Amino acid sequence: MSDSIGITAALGLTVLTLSFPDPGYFGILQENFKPVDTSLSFSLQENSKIRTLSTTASSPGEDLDGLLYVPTLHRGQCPEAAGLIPVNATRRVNLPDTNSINLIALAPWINPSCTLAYMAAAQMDPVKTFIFYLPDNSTAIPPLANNARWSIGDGGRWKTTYRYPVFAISGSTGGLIMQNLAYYSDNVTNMPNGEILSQHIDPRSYIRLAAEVEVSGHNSLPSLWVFLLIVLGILIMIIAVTSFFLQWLQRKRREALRRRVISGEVDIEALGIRRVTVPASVLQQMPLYTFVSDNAVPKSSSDTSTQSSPPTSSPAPLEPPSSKPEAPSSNPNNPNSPTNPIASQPSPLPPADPPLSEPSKELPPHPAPFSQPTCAICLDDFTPYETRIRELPCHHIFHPECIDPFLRQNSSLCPMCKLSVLPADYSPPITNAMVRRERLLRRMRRNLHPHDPPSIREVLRFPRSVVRSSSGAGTGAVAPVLPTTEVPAPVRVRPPSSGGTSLAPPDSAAALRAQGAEIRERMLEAEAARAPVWRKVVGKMWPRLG
Amino acid sequence: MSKAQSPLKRLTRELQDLQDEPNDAVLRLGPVDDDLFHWHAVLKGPAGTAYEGGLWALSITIPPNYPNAPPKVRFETPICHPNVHFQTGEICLDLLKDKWAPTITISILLTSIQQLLTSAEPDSPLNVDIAQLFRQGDWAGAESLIRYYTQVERWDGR
Ligand SMILES: [Zn+2]
Ligand SMILES: [Zn+2]
Repeated sequence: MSDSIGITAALGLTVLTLSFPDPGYFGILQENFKPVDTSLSFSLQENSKIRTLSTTASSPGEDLDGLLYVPTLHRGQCPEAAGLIPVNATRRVNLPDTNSINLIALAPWINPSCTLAYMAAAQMDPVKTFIFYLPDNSTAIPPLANNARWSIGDGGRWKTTYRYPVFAISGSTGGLIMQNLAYYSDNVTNMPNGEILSQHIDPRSYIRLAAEVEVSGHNSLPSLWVFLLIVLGILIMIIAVTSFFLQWLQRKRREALRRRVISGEVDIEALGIRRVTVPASVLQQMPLYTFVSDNAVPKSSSDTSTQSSPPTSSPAPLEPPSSKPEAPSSNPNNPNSPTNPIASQPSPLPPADPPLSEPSKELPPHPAPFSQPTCAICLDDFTPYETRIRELPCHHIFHPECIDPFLRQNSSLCPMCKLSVLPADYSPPITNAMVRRERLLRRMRRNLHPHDPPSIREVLRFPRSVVRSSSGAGTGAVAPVLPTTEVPAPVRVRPPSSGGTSLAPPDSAAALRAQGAEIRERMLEAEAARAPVWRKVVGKMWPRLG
Repeated sequence: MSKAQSPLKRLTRELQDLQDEPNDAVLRLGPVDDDLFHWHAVLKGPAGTAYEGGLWALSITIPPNYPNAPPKVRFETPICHPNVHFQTGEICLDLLKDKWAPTITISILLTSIQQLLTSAEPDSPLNVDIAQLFRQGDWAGAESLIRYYTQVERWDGR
């Protein structure tokens, strides 16, 4: 099973002859273990014909190496092995008597009881792995791990019992190694090429076979990690790039909206995108002066009133603190403002008071640009030569104590005509939410079906009232003439149209009642089921109308 | 710079004006128990419409920063209208929200609410069922339903 996944599968087996001094004298040092010249000694490389029978206690990618030996069984165990294992094959006793050197066990897989005996014996020794071979002298790759040939009959429990990995090699290779284990188990002199070897190697040294099983996993698991890391990296990069892009896009959109607000293309207040209020600095630039009776004609009265103002007792520039002296600045700010009365305003200024010495923005008393006897907010009449008034760029006048708090805290639109009092190039701070809202509104407006709504009004046989269309008032076509406090701008009552008179005939009570009761029941049911979520959704989808 | 004025003066003024010129849209309109911040109104159904003959009680709550902020207006008598919640009496009217201006008086507001009866917006419904009838073009159904409720849920003069 594990072969296929590549957690631990043997990729190759290397057997070679090592020489090393007696660890009892020289210690176990890496540099003491030297390969013997392969031309003079046994070596073997098996690259493919290896099966992994058990991966117990192996870690992927960690090669297994050690000195080769044949575990020694107890007397009487596995008599069948007698003919298969040379008498002088390397045993534990032929190796240094230390548990600090790794070992690799080799034995033929004769039958389950022999195998169990060998594995139990190897368990006592510091083995890194056990290599079995079928004593069939076959050169073919051994059967698969799940083959019945490898069955111990314990349901695989041996794999957990014996804490080392187990591999299988072909019968011929196993036999060959076993044969050489017999050659390299004793003194140098008895080994193949013993005379030559003894000339180069201290005769007291060990010359033994060692093996290394190369185990897969070098690449498989690390590559998985690398793969995951790459995926993660790509994800992070995508997120980063997206985030940067969105930030950039949002900034662009904010700037675009700001430009459109400044250019007057978008009226934030009229769209209801946000409640815009008027900063104090802008408010203070709006003219403040004492009200004068309004029955005179603007053009001529402006001169007479400014001259006639000194004799009257009450008007006094009551407000010293402001630093902005000039009122006319507010006029060019608003291109929407009606043109006819403007001329009267800047002209009286210079003659009336010395422009620079007077620090207050309070102007001398003069009539408002057109007749407005009443403050539309508190509904009180202005008293000539007594009431101080604030004039908005649209030339509507109010008590400053009425209009100032309203503009500072509630709105930037004139309560009378809904014109913005802000300078045309003024833009409030634009937030992402405002951008979203504006885009949504624009999209919605594009998608609205122009002929949907009238049906309901036809039914009710009434003309569309102006109540809801007042949003159009922001566009500036408002003449500055109308206001009397009686009828403020947004609400106008039109007479019913003379058109249809085809209302359904007066109800026949019983039928109606039945129908009504039925619908009502449905209505109540649905109402109970839905109310809060429903409202939210509608609010989200149609924020303009909420 | 200048302090907002108390709404009391303006409300008193509105009350005076109302006595001088009563509003045709309402059967009655005035403060509840001399509390100028809480008014009560009885709205009349416009003649020649499906709401004809109807009477609905409304409660009007004046905020402390009136008239800079709109009053809260609510139908106390159930009314069958796309933009009025049948149970809570909540009204979806722009004048009561973002289109509010301090020049609007309570009397004007009630006139506007009466107008709303004949100029519903089925696209921003608070009463989905009647709005649905409108949108489906079931005008006869909508009208009979309205007439039914106008009769059944009529302010009884309590
Ligand atoms: Zn005022
Ligand atoms: Zn104005």
